[in-house]
Parts: sequence; structure tokens; C-alpha cells
Amino acid sequence: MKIVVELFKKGGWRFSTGLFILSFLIVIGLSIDLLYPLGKERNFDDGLCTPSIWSNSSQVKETQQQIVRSGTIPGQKKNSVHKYDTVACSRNYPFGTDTIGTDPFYIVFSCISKYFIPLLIVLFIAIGLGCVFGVMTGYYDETKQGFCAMILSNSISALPQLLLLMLVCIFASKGELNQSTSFMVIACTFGIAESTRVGKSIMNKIHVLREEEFIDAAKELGVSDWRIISRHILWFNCRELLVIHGIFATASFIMMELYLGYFNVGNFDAWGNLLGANATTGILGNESLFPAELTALFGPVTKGFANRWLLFLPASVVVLFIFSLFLIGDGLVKYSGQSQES
Amino acid sequence: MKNLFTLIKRETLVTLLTLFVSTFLVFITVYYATGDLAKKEANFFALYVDSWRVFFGGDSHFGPVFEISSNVETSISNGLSASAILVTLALLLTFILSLAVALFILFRREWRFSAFIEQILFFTGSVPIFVTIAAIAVMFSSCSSDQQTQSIGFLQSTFSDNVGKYFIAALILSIGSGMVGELVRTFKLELQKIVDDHYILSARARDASLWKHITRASIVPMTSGIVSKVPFFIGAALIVERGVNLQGIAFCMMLYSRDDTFNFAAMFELSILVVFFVVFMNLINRVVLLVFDPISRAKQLSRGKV
Repeated sequence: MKIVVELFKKGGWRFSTGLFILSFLIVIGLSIDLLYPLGKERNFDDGLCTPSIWSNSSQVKETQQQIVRSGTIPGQKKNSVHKYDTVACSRNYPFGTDTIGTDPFYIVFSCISKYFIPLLIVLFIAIGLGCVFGVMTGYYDETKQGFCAMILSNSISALPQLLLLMLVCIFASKGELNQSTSFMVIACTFGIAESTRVGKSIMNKIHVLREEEFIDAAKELGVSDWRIISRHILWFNCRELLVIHGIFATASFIMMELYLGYFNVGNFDAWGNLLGANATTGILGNESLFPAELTALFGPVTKGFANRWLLFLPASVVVLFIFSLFLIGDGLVKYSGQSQES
Repeated sequence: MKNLFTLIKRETLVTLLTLFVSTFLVFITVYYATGDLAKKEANFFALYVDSWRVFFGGDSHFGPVFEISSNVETSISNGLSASAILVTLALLLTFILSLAVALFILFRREWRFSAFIEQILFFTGSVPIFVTIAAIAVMFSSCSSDQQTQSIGFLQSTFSDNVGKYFIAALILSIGSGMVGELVRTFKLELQKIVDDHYILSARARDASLWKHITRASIVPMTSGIVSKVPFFIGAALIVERGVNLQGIAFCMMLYSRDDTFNFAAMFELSILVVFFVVFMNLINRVVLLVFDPISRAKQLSRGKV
């Protein structure tokens, strides 16, 4: 309890604001099926879109049954081509609807719960393996095992994370793995790649700690290496570092998933897929992404950007989520700095 | 001098070993990423040896799938040069911007917007780069109907014609990726330590020029700070390339990883060259550290085992 109070005190406004925003988004994400139960449905009544957030479920079901019975959509001729309407953001559709009639508002919030298990995997691997790398390269740096760990750590960190994840995504798609398994594979790969960064931080910390005398004193007293490493080094001196790295690793993983979606590799049913599709092909209109002055510099990037709300409104939620993680991480850095000073 | 040479030789050996292990990791990933064909055609180690043969310009023993044709070679070299220019320019811009902002904040600590600038730059990292690019596009948006007919090629003319494009892309890469914000913090902390050091304080008291001392003392942290970000820069460059339609490494990777056009050798070559670049930059960083930082040199010498 004392730590929590101190955390809020020393972490400053950043920590509290970050925690508030994050909790708010997670609560909405977890209760989106209650708040917007028709988010997955189609009512074919409102221009072939998902029923709006205010729609009546019994009415929607009735319309659906009517369509099944008659084979026509209300307001459209029989055998006419179904046209999906892109609805602009409004009271009914806060984030509008996309070219296939789905509501990004529902999708963006329902995706939050899909990140929990991958993020836990990332945290577990990044911190666990990071501790192993850190201890091997910091505490046992003069042994052969330490040298091997250093080479392995350097080799993994030499591969740019996005490039590695793209390759693994391609591998996962060729291996015909299902979406959720691929997502876990990507989380594992990212965890391994991120562990080298955690390892380097722990290594630096151990190098600083070795200059202090308590490690030598503990050794002289006959304390085992395992106890020195686990209790004195990792628990007492590195736990804040690990939490901070864990939070930034979480933010980085979400960012990486967005970029994979932008490259259209992986296609996980998450934010990357939604934003990536909307940033490239999902919002084709008649406008060029870059205007005349900038097009002269870049060339047309995509053909259209007519329905810009489809990118920016869902992106704002994602940015808010990542921003809150940054705020919490930053607050923890401040707390850690003040604790060390005191 | 002899000691320094020995240490550099040792670092080079460690780098070579790192290179060997990372290329092996790349091979394993690419091997599995490029489908069943590779596994059917050859066994793992024969293909590994063959990949290196193709990498150094030799012929493949496993048929045309593993060969690099002249077209592929040209597109790879074009893509690599485009990405290399972008990354180098972005690194330079990031370094200059971060240093300038860090110095400004350091010497104008009492100005109320200093902290605000630092925070804003740091939190730009929470916005995905492609959203930033789209936002820039929309901000300057003024549509005209003939835009779609313009050519897409970024590299169809000479480099001098494209300087403006590279500059803006590099600016997006350095600020949009949040790298400037992160380095401003690192540089500010390092510079603060240097400026508050006793010998700098006494030099200030005697009205001597500080810049010589500051420059010398800041070489090591600056180089380490910027070099450690190279892998991240390359990753972020892939997104910027796609965003601004530059046909660099990302374009080649997407092209040669597609089912209908996939090319094992091309993918291997691209990944290996990226790893070469990163490892080479790390080596430069280590050498700079040994040359300019006597403490680090002494520590390395005292270990003496590696």
C-alpha cells in the first residue's frame, strides 16, 4: 500500500493520468459487448451497415428474418447488387462505417481484449529471457557461457525487429497457422528480440553494482550466487527497471503489430489489420494522399483519402492507449530516479 | 597504442562471430519464411552453403529459384541505395536535431517551454508513423483531379532531383518515429553530467572555452546513443518508405516474399545486408569507445580474457 501511495506521489501527474486513461480504455474494451451488443450484427436496414449503437435488437432481428424470408433488402430491388455504404461519423456511428459496412468503433474497442494473452507472452519472455541474458553477460561475463550469451544477444539485436517480425509473419502464413497461433508466434518472437534490450540494461546495472562492495561481502559470507542474483541484484536493484522495460515493451509490441498490419503481413484480427487496411486500401476515394505540392515530391501514395475519419478516429484510440503506456512508463522512470536519489 | 590495436582486433573478432551467428539466424528465418520449395529441393546445410555462394556472386547448385537474376540484382541494389540514403540522412538529421534541442534545453532550463518541447518530442513516439504521414498529407490537402496520373517512381531520376523527397522522408523518420525525443533525453542527461563536472565548472570559472571539452567528452555517449538506434531506424525506415512510396528495402522484401515472385536468394541477401550494416555500425561504436574513452579501454584491458 505504501509503495502504491509513493508511486502516485513520485510518479507525478504522468503516472496517474496514464493509469486513468489506460483503465478507462480497458474497461470500455472489456464491456463493449454489453455497451454495443449489436456491433457484430448486420441489420441491412441502415444502408447495409452494422446496426448503430442505439439500434433496438428485436427490430434488427426482425429485419434480418424478413430478409431471409423474402431474399430482398428493404429499400432495394430484388437481385440488385448489394452496395455497402460508407457512413460518415455521426451520433449513430461515432467512428463512421467502412467500405464493407462494419463499425470501427466496435472493432477498435473489442480488439483490446485480444491483446491480453500476447502481451503477457511478450512480458514473460522479454523479462525472463532478458534476466538470463543480463545475468550471463553481466555477472558471469568473464566465463565462456557469458561470452556465448553476449554473442547470442548481440546477434539477435543486430536484426531489426520489424524485419524479423515480417519474416516470421511470412513464415507463419506459409505454415498455414491460424490467426491466433500466428499472433502468439509473433508475440514470442518479439519477446525474444526485446529480451536483448532488457538484458543490456540489466548487464549495465550489474556492472555498476559490482563496483559496490555488497556483492563481494555477500560472497565472503557464503551466500550462494543464485541468492545474490535473484534477491540482491534482480529483486532489490532491478525490479523497477524490469517493470519500466515491460511497459515500454508492451507499447512497442502494439506498435509493431500496427506496422505489420500496415504492411499487410500477418493479418491478425487486431488493430494493425483495421488501421493498416484503412491507411492503404480500405478508404479509396478520389483524392490523392498527398496534395499537388507534396505529390510533386512524393508521387501519389495511395489513390484516396476521402474517408479520413476511418483512419484517424480509430487511430486516436490506439494512440491514446499507447500514449497512456508511455505516460505510465515515464512516471515510473521518474519514480525510480527519485527513489534512487533518496 | 599496441594495447589499443589488440583491443580493436579483439572487437573485430567478436563482431565477426556475431555476424556469423546473426546470419545463421537470418538464414533459419528466411529458410522457413520462403515456403516448402527450399525444403524439398535441398537439405538445410547444403542450402546454407549455397546461399553464401550466391551471395558472393557464384552460381546456385539448386536451380533457378535460388539464383539472383540481373533484374532482381538491379532492384535490390536500387532498393538498398535508396534505403541507405534515407537511413543515413535520418541518422544525421536526428543527431543534429537532438543535439541542438538538448543543448537548447540544457542552457535554457529556466524557460518554461523547455520541458514542454522535451515532452512533446518524447510522446511523438506514441503515434504510429503511417498515421503521422497521413496527417501531414491531410494537413496540406488540396485535391486536383490530375494527381493520379503522376509517376510513382521515387528513384527514376538522379539523386540530386530527389534530395527534397529524401529530406522530408528523413525528417518524418527522425521526428515521427519518436527517436529525436528519446535521444534528446539521453543527450540532455549525458550533457548535464559533463557540464556539471568539476573540470568544466573550473574552466567556466576561468572563462575558458568550454566547447572543446564538451565535444570531446560527449563523443562517446552521443555515438553510443545514436548507433544503438540503428536497427530501430532501419525498421522505421521500412514504414516511411512505404508511406512516402520510396522503393527501398521494404518494397523489395514485399516483392520477393510474395508467393508468385518469391526469391529465396533475394530475401537472404537483403536480410544479410541489413545485418552487415547494423553489425558494422556497432563495431564502429566499439572502436570509438575504445579510442576516446580511457575508462572503457582500461576495463577491457583488465578483463583480458575475451
